[in-house]
Amino acid sequence: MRWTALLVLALTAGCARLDHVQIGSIDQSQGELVPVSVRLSETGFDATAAAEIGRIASRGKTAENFKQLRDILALINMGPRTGNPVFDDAYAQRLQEYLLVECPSGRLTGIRAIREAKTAGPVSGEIVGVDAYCIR
Amino acid sequence: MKIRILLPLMLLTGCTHSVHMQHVSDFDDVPAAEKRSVVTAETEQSVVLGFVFDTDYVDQAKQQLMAQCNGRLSAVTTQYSTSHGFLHWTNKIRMQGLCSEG
Amino acid sequence: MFKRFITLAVLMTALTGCVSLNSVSLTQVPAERSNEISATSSSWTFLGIAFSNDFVDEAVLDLKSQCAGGKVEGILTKFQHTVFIPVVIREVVATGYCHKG
Repeated sequence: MRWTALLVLALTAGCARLDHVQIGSIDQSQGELVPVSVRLSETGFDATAAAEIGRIASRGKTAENFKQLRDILALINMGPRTGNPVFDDAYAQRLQEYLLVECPSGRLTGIRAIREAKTAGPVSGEIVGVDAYCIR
Repeated sequence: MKIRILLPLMLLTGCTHSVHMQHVSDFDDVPAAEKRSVVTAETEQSVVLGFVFDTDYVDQAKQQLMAQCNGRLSAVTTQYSTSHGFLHWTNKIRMQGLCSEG
Repeated sequence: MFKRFITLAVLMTALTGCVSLNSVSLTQVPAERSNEISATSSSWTFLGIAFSNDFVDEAVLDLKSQCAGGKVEGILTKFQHTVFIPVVIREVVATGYCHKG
C-alpha cells in the first residue's frame, strides 16, 4: 500500500493540468497579427495532501501525528479549490496590464485565456495565462 | 502532536487561496492610452460550511464596475477565486476593464 | 469525532439547496445600458450525472430572441450548481444589454 501510493505519486510528478480554456473572436481583417503571450504563476502547495503522504509513508506514532496534522489542515483550509492552494491570490491581477505592455495599442484579437498548472504531487505551479494576437 | 511543530505549520499553511478561473473579454475598440482609464470592482461572499443560497455578489461586482464608467467598458477581465479558512471560506470576484468615456 | 462532524456538515449542506458557482464571465459592456435582458436555463440531474449539456443553448436562444435584429453586449454569464440531495440543478444565468439600430 505504502509503496503503491509513493509510486502513484512519482508517476504523477511533472504532469500538466488544464482547468479552464476560453477562445475569443479572431479578426484577421484589420492588419498583421503578431502573437503575444502572458503567463502569471504562483507556487501551489497542498499541505493536506503532503500530510497524507507523510502518513502513508510512515508507521506508528509518526503516522498518527501526520493523520492529526492532515485533519487539522483540512479544517483550517476549507473551501472549493481548483488545483493546489496558493498563498497569494493576487498573482493574476496584473494580467490586463501586462497584456497592454505587450500590445500598447490594445488591439488584441484571438484571445485564448487559460487556467492550467504544472504539477508534481502536492506541489505545483498554478498558472493563469493569455495568448493572443496583437494587430499591428 | 507537539504544539511547537503544529503552530508554525498552521501559520504557514493557514491562509491559502485558489484562483478558479480568469475570463478575458474581447479587446474591441480599445481607445488610445490617453483616452482610457482602468476601472476595478471587487466583491466577496462569506460562506460557512457551504451554506449559501445565491450568487448575487457576482452581479454586484458588475454593477460596481459599471458605476465607475459611464462609457464603454472593454478588455474586461473577470477573476473568480476563493480564500480558505477555518470551517468557512470567502468567494471573491474581481472585475477589471478599460473605460472609454465621451 | 472528526469524521462524524464532516459527515454531518456535508449532509446538512447537501440537504438545504446550497448554491455553488462554477464559472463566471463578463463580455465588453456598452455605453448604452437602458435595455437589460436576461435568460436562465437549467437542467436537473440525479447525483450530478448528466448526459447532455444542451440546456446551455436554451439561454443563448432566449437572449437572442429578446434582442432580434440587435446586438447583445455586456453579457454576465454565471454557471452554478444548486444541490438538493440527490438532485443537482445545473443552471446558466446570463444578463446583458440589447442595443438595436
